[in-house]
Amino acid sequence: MQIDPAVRKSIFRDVSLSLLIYALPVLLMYLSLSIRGYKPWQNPLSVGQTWFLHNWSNYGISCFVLLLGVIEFLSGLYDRDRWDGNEKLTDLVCFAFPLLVLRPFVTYFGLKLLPLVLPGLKNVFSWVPFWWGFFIICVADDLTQYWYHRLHHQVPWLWRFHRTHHSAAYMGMSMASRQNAFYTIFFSQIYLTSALVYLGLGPSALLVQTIKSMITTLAHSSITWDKPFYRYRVLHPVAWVLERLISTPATHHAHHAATTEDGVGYYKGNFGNMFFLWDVIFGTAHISRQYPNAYGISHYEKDQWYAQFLWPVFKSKVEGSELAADGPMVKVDAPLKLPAIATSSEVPQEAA
Amino acid sequence: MKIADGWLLLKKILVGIMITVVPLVIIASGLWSIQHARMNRPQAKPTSSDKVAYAN
Repeated sequence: MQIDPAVRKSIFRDVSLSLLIYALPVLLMYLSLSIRGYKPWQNPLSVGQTWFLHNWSNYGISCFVLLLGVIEFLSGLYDRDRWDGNEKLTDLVCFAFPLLVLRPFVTYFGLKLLPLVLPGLKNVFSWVPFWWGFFIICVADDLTQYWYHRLHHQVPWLWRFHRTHHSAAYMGMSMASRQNAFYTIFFSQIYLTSALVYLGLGPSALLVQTIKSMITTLAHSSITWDKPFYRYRVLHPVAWVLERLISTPATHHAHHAATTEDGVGYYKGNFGNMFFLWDVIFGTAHISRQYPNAYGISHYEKDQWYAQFLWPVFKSKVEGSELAADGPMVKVDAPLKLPAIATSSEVPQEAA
Repeated sequence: MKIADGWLLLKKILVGIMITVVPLVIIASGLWSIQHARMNRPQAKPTSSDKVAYAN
């Protein structure tokens, strides 16, 4: 199955633009330092601040995810019909895998492999001012994840590595880290940021990871924190900026919708993770300020958890599934019967 | 797992490496250029007011 020629063209155009965007923070830093003159460059983070960021990144985010999960559980998100044994196992295995396998692997990569690949370059850029480092890593990490994510949607042979994340028929903490193991372990932005940490941008990376984890976690949550921004007119200007800058539940839920036919769902776009700005720049954004009525994949028939987690090593036994041994690479959407969406008088509709 | 699956995995890894290495090279070469521009910048000459007069 080939990539659609129009999609291929847009990928090449947007990749070219991305190369400039990657260089932009470095160029701006150079201009800023040149204009201000060459002054001693110090890292403004104290030991206490670094300690806080490090611990928040390690333990705080996990506690935050668990707390949101408990709130969702108490509000009835995880009923037995929707979250059966197979779905539970898929979610739990995918949640545990990054903690038990990926973190030790990335630590090993940072401590043992990078000194071999980039010998003598440890902390070579530690002179970069903290906030410029923050800007550089924000762009580098999140734009790389945008591309990793977008390619898994737009390149047909990559789709099945990402399908597990979209097969959940619900949004919530349980599915936020639901990914195929090979998708998780080859997350490009993890290795890029690890390399930048090795080169000396560690403190900035800690802050980026902290903010990014909060935004992406909340974007996957069933708690729609952005609703008040659309409801109250006085908050509309803030909403306008927020929904274009970062991923909100409305835009990211649209990405997980089961259909695009209702004008709300848009799984063919809204690829941004921390920043939604990439979607706005590259024309893959869809802003409706509404939430889909159905999530997941229209033709999903509950493939076994081990196939979802370890495809292509294990194949699905569901006949005709994309994860089955002789299944199609990308299956055509099944028609869905959806309940009515909230009217635009309740929540203003706006297309980007 | 068949050979075709292994080939698929290999292609996926190569795509991953490419989208990791390209930004890394852009950023690292940019920072390296700034660092060298800074190191090669001539030191400012001391002005006459910097001179210290010592009393004999």
